[in-house]
Amino acid sequence: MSRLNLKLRLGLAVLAALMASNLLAPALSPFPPLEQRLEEGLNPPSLSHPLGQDKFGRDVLSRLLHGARVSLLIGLSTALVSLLIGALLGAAAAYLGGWADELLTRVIDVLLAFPGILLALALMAILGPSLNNVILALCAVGWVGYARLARGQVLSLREREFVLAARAAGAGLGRVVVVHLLPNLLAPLLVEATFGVGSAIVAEAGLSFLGFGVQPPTPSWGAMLNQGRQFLLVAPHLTTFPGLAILVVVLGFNFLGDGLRDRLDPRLTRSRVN
Amino acid sequence: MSRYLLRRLAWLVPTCLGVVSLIFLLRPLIPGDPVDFILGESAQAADREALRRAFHLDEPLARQYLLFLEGLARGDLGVSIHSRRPVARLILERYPATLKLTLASILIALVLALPLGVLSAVRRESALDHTAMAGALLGAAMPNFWLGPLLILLFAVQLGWLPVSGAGSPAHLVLPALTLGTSLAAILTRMVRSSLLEVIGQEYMTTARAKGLSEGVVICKHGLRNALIPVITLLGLQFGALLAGSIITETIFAWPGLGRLTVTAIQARDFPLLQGCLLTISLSYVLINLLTDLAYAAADPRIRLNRGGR
Amino acid sequence: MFRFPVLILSLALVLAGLAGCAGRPQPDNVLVVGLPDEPLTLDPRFALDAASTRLNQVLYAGLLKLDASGRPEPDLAQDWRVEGGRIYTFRLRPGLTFHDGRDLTARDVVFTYASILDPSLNSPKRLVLQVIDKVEALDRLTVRFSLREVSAPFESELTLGVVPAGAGPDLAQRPVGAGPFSLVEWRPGQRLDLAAHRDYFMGRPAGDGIVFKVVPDDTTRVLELLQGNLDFVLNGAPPDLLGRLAREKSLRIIESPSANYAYLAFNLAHPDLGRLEVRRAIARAVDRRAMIRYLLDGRAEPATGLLPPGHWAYTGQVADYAYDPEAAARDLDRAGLKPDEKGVRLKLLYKATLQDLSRRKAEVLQDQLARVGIKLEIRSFEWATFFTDVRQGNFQLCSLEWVGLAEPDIYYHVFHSQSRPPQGANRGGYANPELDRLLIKARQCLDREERAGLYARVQQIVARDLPYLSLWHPRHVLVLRRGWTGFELTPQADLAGLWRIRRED
Repeated sequence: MSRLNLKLRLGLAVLAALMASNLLAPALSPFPPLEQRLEEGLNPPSLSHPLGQDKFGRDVLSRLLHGARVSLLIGLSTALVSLLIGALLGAAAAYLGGWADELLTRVIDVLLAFPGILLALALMAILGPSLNNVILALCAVGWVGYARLARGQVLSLREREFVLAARAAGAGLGRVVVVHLLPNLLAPLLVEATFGVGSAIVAEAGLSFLGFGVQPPTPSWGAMLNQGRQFLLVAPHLTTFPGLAILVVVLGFNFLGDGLRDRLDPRLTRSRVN
Repeated sequence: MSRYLLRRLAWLVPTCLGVVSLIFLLRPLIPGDPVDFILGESAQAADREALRRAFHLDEPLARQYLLFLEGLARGDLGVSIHSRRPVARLILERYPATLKLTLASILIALVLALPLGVLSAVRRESALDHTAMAGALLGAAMPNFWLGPLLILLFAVQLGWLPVSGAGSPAHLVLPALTLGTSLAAILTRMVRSSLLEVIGQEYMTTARAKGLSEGVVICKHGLRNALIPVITLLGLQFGALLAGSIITETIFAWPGLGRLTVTAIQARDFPLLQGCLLTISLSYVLINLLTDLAYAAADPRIRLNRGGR
Repeated sequence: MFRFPVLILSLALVLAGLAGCAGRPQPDNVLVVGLPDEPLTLDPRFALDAASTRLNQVLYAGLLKLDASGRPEPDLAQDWRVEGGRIYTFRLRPGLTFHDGRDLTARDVVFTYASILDPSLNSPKRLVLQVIDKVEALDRLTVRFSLREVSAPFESELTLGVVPAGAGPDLAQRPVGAGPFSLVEWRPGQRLDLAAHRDYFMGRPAGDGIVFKVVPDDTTRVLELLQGNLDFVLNGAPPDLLGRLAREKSLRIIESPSANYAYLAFNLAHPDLGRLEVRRAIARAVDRRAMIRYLLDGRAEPATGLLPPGHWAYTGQVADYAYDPEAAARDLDRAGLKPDEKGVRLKLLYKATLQDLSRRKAEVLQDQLARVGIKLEIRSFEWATFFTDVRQGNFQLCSLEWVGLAEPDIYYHVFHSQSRPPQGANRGGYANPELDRLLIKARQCLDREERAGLYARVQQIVARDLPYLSLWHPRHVLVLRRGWTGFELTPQADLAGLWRIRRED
């Protein structure tokens, strides 16, 4: 591993910063994120409140730091869970072929034709709005992309020598999938997942706009951006800072993904032989 | 080729039905009674029963499903519970607007993605590459409900070049299409970049260069033509995302499209209208994908030859 | 194949050509009104949503209308008399016409009410008009209503728009009324164009027409005002942006007291909320003035009951619990709710809607109640789910608003023990036999003074028992473009008043 390309480095830097703020939020926050001071509502950035105050007089910087946790949680959970579900289903279906593959393809077709955001809305109407349900709704929509990817990869890998060799040696379905197929899928799926983190964070903001997501008073960047929207003309700092935070994180994860893919590229086509 | 076409068309119906069936499956789980919205909070039990009967809401779900399919076969999408107008009419009023917006967004996305993607690929790993990618990603990383009002503030209020919201002239289309298109631009740029990269090193490219053609022509004429194929496919896939993403944009810009109608239908639990909207959206999506796949097959002779048998 | 420079250049040219198509100004004497939602039906027999109701105020006229204090006065009818408490005879003005030129006579009035009472039409207004036994035309200009029983609230229901005899389902899209403006074109999802009705019985409208533009997003609406595309926005600008709008030289802000009422509802079936001491403590823990100042930009009056101070039946002589968190804590102590090791005395669930103001109210309440040891959990739902829950009594605390209160009989609808959903709006399950008796008596009492006395007693009981915590009466806020004059903003916010609006010269 000689030199990590620039994109990868930028991406990792953003990830590191995010992790750090996640862990250090309570220590770094100058004010409790939930403390209201109505008479100081909508104050612009000042010395004591470097990023200003929101409608209830709460410190934006503190809320931003605490909100990082929520956004990170949503982004990572959605991406990882979607990846797991999608990869397993896609790989299994492609490997098994026949009716299993047909069934999965049809299900994927239907889900893709169903406008994602509406499915999320329907789910939230049924389950109720909460952080966990947001993740659930986003996963229900998101797994499809990974399944397609996994399926495509497995279809091409299925007939490769190392797989045939493993089967000839008597390996069962589970062993073949887990030990031989998945490691080769991992690279492209992981790349896809890094993009997925970014889109999950933006999707959460979109759901906030429609009213779903974390419940007040919990801060999340998407919710902060949405709440600040009304004050665009009088208190632009309420949208600028959460917006910038989302921007930087999404860019970071995208760079991470691009860098990862560039880095892994020559290795993608090479199969891992046990 | 025709066998392929027929096979794809055959799957069209079950896919769309699958989408609508999904709503039927979810219905018993979704709280809220459409009758409440029509009759208001306090209504006599008799009135509520009468209205439920009028819309077949009192019958078992399976029977309602059959009624819906029956109507569909006749081309009748039913009547909206909320406004008591035929669903088909309501959708027809709004659909062209959404179509216009979607197509305009795709155009803008292409206009942004093609130059940025080419730049990125040609100057790979350079500062230009990173900047171009970052620029493309800007639209995707900014939620529409933030980007939209900012664009309005700049171009409509401050500069006065464009109208704030609504529809009615080509000028009204610009800002909403820009808002919606920039999120698509990011994915497209990446796709253009990567498929161009794949193609750039190949033999026919070196041949073209050897023939003495300028780099620009080589890239544009030969490189892009082949790189565009996966881009077209991607556009087809993203069409569904655009139709759904237009919900937020349509609200911000007061754009009289299908997205807003669908959200209103959900909020009012207007199931006939919701079913009609979903059917329209999924049908559009499936048809577009069919078209792009056909274009893909037409453009790439290898695929055609494969299908026809060797 | 793709010549990028050409493509970009052509796009630039197109954009340049489109420039100048921004904000096309309306012809001079046409007012542009901003609507937050699209109307659903322009048939007054079916319209329930706010947007439809507003449009119908302009398109139709009713037998009667309400004055500033909520009393009925003549509109299409020139006078009326009541006999035996149950026979109402109305005389219509002569020379009334619909938008299409047809005469408006007693036949049309009879048709309007008879069709609503017809069960097969499924009109939502049927329930309140059930008290009508028979409606008939005595002659061309005289209508008689025979009621089943004495009903004081009946007159207030007669503001309903009169539709032409024989009107069918078409009316919802192609309205024909006798109001000051008629519908010319409806572009779905976008706008409704109305023209002045020359033969409007009060006189030809001062303006030439009105355009109702649908703009669902709050911020976009304000931006439209700033760009000059909207002239008239009623209760449609977020309170925090009013300061910014006030600084705009081309706009002015007009306020008026309203007949709206914001409140906090308690579910009295809850073991703690069912106790008066606890409700009183909560009343003392809520700082309403702070909420009004910071959430509504000060544009509301603290309320003591459903009826606003301008109402003919209003009384201010009722119990009012001032903001006093220490007293609240003491109340809770006395009620046996002592703080635990984290300082929490009581945990309650608050259901809010997805609306911005609803959630903000929730967050401020959460903070205020936390100071007296009540931990509020907020859950916000979209309207359908929220409303279903509230109606089924599946809530503990929630905050809502009553809009356009005119008839004090609303108290029956809200607090009578028989009015639990789906019969009425007594969602918290309040039951008080003395109140029940008073409400029925007031319903059947036609003497206004005596009624006022009865409702004074009603207001006192309700304020004492706190089934609702009264929050405030928000003021109507109208953002009007300078140069327009003549519109009078009333507590009912009746848009029929637009018939007088015109450009200043």
